[in-house]
Amino acid sequence: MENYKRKREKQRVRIRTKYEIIGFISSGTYGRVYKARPREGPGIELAIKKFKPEREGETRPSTGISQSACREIGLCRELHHENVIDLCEVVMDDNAIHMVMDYAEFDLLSIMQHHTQHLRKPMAELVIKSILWQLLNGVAYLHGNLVLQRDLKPANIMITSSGVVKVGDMGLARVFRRPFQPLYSGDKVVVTVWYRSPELLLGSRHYTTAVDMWSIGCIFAEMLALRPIFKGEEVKMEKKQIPFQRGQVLKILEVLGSPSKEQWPNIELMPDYLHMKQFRHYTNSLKSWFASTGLKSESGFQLLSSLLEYDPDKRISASDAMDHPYFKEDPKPVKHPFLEHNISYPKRRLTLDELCDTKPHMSHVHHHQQQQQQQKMHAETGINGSSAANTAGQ
Amino acid sequence: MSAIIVATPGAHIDLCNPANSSTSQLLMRTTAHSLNALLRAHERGRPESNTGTHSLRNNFAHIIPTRPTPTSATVASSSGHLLPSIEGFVSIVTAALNTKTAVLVTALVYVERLRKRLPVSATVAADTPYRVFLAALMLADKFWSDHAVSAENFVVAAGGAFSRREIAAMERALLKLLGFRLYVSADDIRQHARRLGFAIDDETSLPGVK
Repeated sequence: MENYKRKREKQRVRIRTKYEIIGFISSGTYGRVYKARPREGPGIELAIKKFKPEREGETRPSTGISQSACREIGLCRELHHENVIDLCEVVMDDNAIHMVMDYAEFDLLSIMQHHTQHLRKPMAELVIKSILWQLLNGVAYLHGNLVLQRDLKPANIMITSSGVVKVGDMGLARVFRRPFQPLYSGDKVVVTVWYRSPELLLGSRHYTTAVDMWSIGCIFAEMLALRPIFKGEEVKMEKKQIPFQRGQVLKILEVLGSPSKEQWPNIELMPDYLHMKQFRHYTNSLKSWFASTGLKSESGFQLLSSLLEYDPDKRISASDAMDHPYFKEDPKPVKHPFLEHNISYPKRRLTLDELCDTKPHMSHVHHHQQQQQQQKMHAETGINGSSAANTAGQ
Repeated sequence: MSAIIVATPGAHIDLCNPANSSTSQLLMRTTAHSLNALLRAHERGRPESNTGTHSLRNNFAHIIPTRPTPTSATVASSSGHLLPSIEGFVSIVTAALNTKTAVLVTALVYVERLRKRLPVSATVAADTPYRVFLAALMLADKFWSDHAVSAENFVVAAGGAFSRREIAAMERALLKLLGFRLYVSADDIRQHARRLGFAIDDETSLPGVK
């Protein structure tokens, strides 16, 4: 038995033996994400997502593998596309699942925040268009493979330092083809509320790839305006009942107007349709909303309207959107917008925790305390530490 | 709207329904058969010379209790619980958990994949099929359902024969043994159904894809 244990120990892949953990990037309900590089082989940068076991509050580590880990691993093992985060390897170490993935220097949320907080100017149209096209390209691939992403939002859209989009976070994604279970099950709520489509907000059970397309419309609008187009107040769930998201629906009505029966013939069949009666009549003001962003392109407006189409059956698909005239007019989308146009953004801030290799190898690695001090300083002075940032957004 | 498996005798199995309908008995028997094949592999294959598959074998040893128990009429779990026949066990657990047919088919696909990956020399204890079944069902459920069955519910459904800690260890071990491949395609399901003597109603239209 002792012999066996020793043997097992020898075979075990230790994440830190194989990878140098450069720094801690972020954490979420699922676990923690690190930046790493392989100790041997090419000097590439990788992200390692370390899942914590289900319900960490429990005393013993005996609750099992988290569902989102199963989903994400199950799907990502099979999905490979230049605009979807690639899963390189899965390692089980210390009873925790570690997903070794592509590293992306930015995410869309951090880029937009940099524009609002530091540059104080809009994103360049070329960048917006290139990011949008690549996002559609990645999502078209997922939809073509019968996968719904179901949680598209700026924070889940990874972007490499050259400007290549990588759709990330497949923890909520799932396959929707028959012969499997219907997508609707009980009280599951999908999609962050600001990016949630009207049919989901009205309680639809048979939602489709169109839910992702609505989210993409919201993301396109957010890149133009640098703030969420429908920033509703979320109603919290009570007693496992899905509440009607009144505030969110109102935000949509204010911009898109009240949906008519001609626009959305099946609206009366939506489970929560009765809630719509509480609102007064609104007229569509998307055109003036669009004009306020400063973008002049008529086809850009047409594309946004097709993405923010009330009726999920009429909403444009990812592959059709990729062929939209908007992408054929100048500036045309490019593959590496940041690289080709010499745009740079501040790199991800890394901190160190107990998993990281103690010697910092890169100048922008800070000890946690040090970083907190810096952040405080930034907040007080409004000065951004990275000078590279000033060239961004041209 | 859900896909339907048409069994050869003309009976329909709805993949979205609980697996406990009468026509699903065949599916359950097959699962049990598959699991028993794991056991037979053990009887046949022991003691083989090592064939460079140390890693798999040793990983598999992690699923099973400390030493192999001889096969006998009654099977007991490592905690001493007497277990029903594997057929009975599959039936009891799926009934208790109201398992959907799609999930059970997926669990069966995992068991089959495991069988292909295991070396003949793998040593297997008498209660291994039970453990493999629970682990496969847990992973299948997590892959398909939006609300996974909790580990505690698995403990209860299995009649307390295995602890939560044991079940969690099996689940991890199986995931590793499967090479972290949990994806099951419509073709996988179709192939398995065909082998079971079912034919899947071949819906080529894809609802929701435009």
